[in-house]
Amino acid sequence: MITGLITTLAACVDPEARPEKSEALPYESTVTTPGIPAIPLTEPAPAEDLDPADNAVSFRLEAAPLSTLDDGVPTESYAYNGQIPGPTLRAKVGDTVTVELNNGLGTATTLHWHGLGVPNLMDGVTWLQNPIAAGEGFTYSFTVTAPGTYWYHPHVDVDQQVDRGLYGMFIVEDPGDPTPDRELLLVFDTRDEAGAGDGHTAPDPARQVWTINGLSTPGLTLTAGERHRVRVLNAANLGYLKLRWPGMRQIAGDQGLLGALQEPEAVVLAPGDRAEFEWIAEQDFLVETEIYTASGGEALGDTLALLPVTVTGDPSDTPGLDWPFAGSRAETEDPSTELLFAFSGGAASEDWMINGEVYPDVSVSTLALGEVAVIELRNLSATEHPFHLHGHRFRVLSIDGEVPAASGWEDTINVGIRQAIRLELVADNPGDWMAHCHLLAHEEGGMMTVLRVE
Amino acid sequence: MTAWYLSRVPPSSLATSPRHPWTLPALYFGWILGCDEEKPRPQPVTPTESASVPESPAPQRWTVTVRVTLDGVPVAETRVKQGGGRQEWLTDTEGLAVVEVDGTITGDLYVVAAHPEARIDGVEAAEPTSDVLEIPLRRFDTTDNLAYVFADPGPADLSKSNSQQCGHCHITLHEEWYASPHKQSASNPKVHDLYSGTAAAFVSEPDCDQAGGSWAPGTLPGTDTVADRCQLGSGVLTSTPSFGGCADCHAPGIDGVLGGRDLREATGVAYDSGVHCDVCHHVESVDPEAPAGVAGRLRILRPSEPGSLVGAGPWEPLSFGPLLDVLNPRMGAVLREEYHEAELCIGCHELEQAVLVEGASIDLLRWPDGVFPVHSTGSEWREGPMNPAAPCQSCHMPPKPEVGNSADLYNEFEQALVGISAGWERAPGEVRAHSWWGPRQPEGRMLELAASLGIEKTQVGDQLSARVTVKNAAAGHAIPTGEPSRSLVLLVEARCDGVEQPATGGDTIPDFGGWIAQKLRGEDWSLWPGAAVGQRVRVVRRTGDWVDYAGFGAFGDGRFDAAAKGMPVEEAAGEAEIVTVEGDRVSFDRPLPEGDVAWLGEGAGGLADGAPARALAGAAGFAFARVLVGADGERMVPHFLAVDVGSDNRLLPLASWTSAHQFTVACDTPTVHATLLYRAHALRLARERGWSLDERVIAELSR
Repeated sequence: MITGLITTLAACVDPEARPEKSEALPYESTVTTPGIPAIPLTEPAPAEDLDPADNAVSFRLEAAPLSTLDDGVPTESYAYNGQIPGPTLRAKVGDTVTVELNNGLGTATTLHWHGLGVPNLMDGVTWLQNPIAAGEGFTYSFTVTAPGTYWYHPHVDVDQQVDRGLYGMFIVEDPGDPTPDRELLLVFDTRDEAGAGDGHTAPDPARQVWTINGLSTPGLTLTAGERHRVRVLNAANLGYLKLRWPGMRQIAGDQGLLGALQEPEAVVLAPGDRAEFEWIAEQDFLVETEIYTASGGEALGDTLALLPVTVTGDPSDTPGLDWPFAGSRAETEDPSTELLFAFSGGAASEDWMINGEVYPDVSVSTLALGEVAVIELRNLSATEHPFHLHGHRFRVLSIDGEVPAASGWEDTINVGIRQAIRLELVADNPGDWMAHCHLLAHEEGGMMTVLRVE
Repeated sequence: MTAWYLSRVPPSSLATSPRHPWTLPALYFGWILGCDEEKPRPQPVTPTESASVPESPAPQRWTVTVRVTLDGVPVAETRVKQGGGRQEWLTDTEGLAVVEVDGTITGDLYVVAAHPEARIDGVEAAEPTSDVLEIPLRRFDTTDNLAYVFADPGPADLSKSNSQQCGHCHITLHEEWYASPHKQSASNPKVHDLYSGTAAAFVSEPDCDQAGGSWAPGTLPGTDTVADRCQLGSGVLTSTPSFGGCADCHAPGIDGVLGGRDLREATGVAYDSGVHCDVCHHVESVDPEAPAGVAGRLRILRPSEPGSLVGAGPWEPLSFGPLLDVLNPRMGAVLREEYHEAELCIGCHELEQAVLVEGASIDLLRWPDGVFPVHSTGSEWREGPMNPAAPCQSCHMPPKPEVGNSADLYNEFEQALVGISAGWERAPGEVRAHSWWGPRQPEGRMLELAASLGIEKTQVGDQLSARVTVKNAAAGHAIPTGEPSRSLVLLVEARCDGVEQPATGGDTIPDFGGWIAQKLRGEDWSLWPGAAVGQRVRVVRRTGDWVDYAGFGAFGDGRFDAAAKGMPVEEAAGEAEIVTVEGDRVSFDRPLPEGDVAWLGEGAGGLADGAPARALAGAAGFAFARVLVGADGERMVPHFLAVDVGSDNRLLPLASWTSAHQFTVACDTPTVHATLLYRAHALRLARERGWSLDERVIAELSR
């Protein structure tokens, strides 16, 4: 058994079988580490669009158990359409989306469209509706209105079901964006190598095994001078990424382009977070993560090598694409409503709280439909928390009073220990929306509340 | 985990010395420098090495069986783990446990066992074996040793420390503690001022005389020296000499008999270090029902077995703490879960008190148990929503992820200290900060994170109404909490183009917002002895009603009606600025309005964070405090002088209070500006003793 190979998964996808709407291609790979055979990095196979209409897409997903070998260890996983990550769903802004989910798991499940502004009853949360029982199905339908790198996953028994493999990327394209030479999808997840319990949670970051698109030791080969749009998702339950590589160029956050190109040394991606980058490879490089944890900050200066990238061809001097960045945006002068969510708990129990409440025994916060509101997040707990708001997108107004540079639209934002973050949103989607920590154990431990827009 | 894949890049010497010098046997002899034996173990590699590692990356794991005995008898239900690991096991009735050893961890490969009656011990498990590995534990002596001398944490300059001083190895934690209020608990001059009835800020006889004190002999804090100093105001020794509880928490490290000690006995380490390492980590257990301090709730156990370790002092080391796998025999570590729990902190941060003033008695109708609450931080937390999920440590001792081990790894001394800690890098978050973030450490931002402000305003013609909400948004206890002289003061202002507009009604800052002088209806409000030009006289009307708030304990559980809660409704009538002073007589820039109370105070203009506190009673706003009342009716007195709690409207966890304010404004688009201030002391007391008292702006909002 080759280390890291998950049977039946993306590595086995035939690129010729991809639907026309997807231009993503598998990448060549080479063995870059003597003695350690790298697995060819491939992208999650896209879902087949069953609707021939130009302004509509239709997908069918089957959630079912899947026996996998995780680093040679037989593991009872879950998968959509037999692959981990699940099929990549792709639409363009304005498309009507229909997804038929059949539940073959043997347990209840739902689909949550992480980041998408779907109608309330399409959000897949049990606050609003019963989950889809084993053996039954549900058809989700909605229209996508904003470009971005989204993802989908269950919102019931979420800690287990996501960790077992139920997640996939959902891309909403903006036809106005420039066309890269290639697009690359990187879906990160963690695997518990300590083997405690059922082997599906890995709280010790220094000992986590990261997978990329389901592979634990992938390698990648690129052609010099080609411009890649790289979409990254951290689908881990608890594991943080602090990604870095030489010449990092970040172009987008959760939902579309940033206000301006950012060239940071590293980017923290908390669980649930997404980002997009532009790669113009000129020479071999290594994608690494600093070992960053929910306990905050860099731990011990360690780094973890994730993806060796080999570049073929002669170096060129290719310029970046002309991305239509939106520019920076000023803070709302006088928001009609301010809400405050304070995070605490977890140090002595499994209870995690927002405003001193443990879900589902929570007070519902209310916003009037259409109003501009400010939400302030404060974290007095002993860990960081990636805050995720359903059904809406927001901008980050300030972090500890500092206005972030060129932020874009987000739906997930990491809140550091003793940090205060102010968000602005337009309450434009009626319904009851979950607002929670996306560390899935924390979410299930009660760190979730409800924001009502009416 | 594939070993090649984890590329550890320690910041300094380990990068060039991939194996730690080894280790545990050397611990018995103090420093381990120079011991460079290496074990043949899988080695983590740096990124540059990762491309050329030829060996198999297979992880190394095996199981070993350990038998734990206590004084020679196999012992069940004893916690066992691999040192530096995460998973735990319990021994069975034969004392046996099968432990999985991860050969890839950083540090020594040991299995350790922790029993509550014994020091932690362990056995090397560096390779698979079919032998049963023995971990013999021995009960420690549970007799507190009065001859024990508490260890010195060490100086700020650790190059001058020695290995018997905690800071010698626990560098980061020592640095944090050194800058914390815990370190200053016995040496804080304000504590001694209140204990001895002195004012240390007045360092000369003329200054003392001018402040109203007397220059007379007294014991200099922290010494046996008697010298002239400024005797001024009340103190425990002068007013309530029978009370001897201060040192039980303020100077818990006075050697010898614990409890009831004179604070002036605190000298040397007990004075300089206050609440320090060797005291806290000798808390063997907590009795929540006992009185506060080291003779009550906190049961201190000092070792009494003769020591056998070179350089570790005359007694066998013994210390209590939160970790299962502290193997260093120089620690003599014993596991205690209490170190994760709020009750350890509540050992001191909770105090009920009888009336201590001679000749005075408590009102048993208000306080039928004969005591009233002074410090109730523990109870506020116990009765609040953060119990049990967020104990004190959750907020006040956050993770210190950059510290790999409490005996620091990855700092300037790492090479030497790797052996001290058996080389174990703890998972980020296991090592917790020892700063105890609180109001005296602005960098911790605890006050700012705890409180929030909201404003609603409406305007009809020239009448502006504002409702300002102050919320305890995040603290697990009331705000303010702790020492009852603390207060939050809300100042509400209306402005037109930056010009202050007069308050004509609504809530005001009560008396404990500070005043220089006070006059009631019927007195001559033109006479203000000592007043100065620029000062303000603020007038309030009392409606006869009482503010019915929901405070702590009797102030919120239905025992007290609104009148018994002690806050009269006081509405703004107006204020005027003093423009001339002739003797005691003053004149104002406008007529003083009619009212029931007039307070001489100071203007609020230009108030900023760090500015000296001002007398603001009567200004538009509100305030929150536990107000202790003395035998003579004086309010906001130190607790040893108190005979009652006059009011306690502090904001309990998640509670909010909305005050209403009216202004007459001269513009169409006025701004309402709310400023929430924190004060550590009552203004009158601070001015009496010459203490600096600055305003801490913890929240501001304009609408």
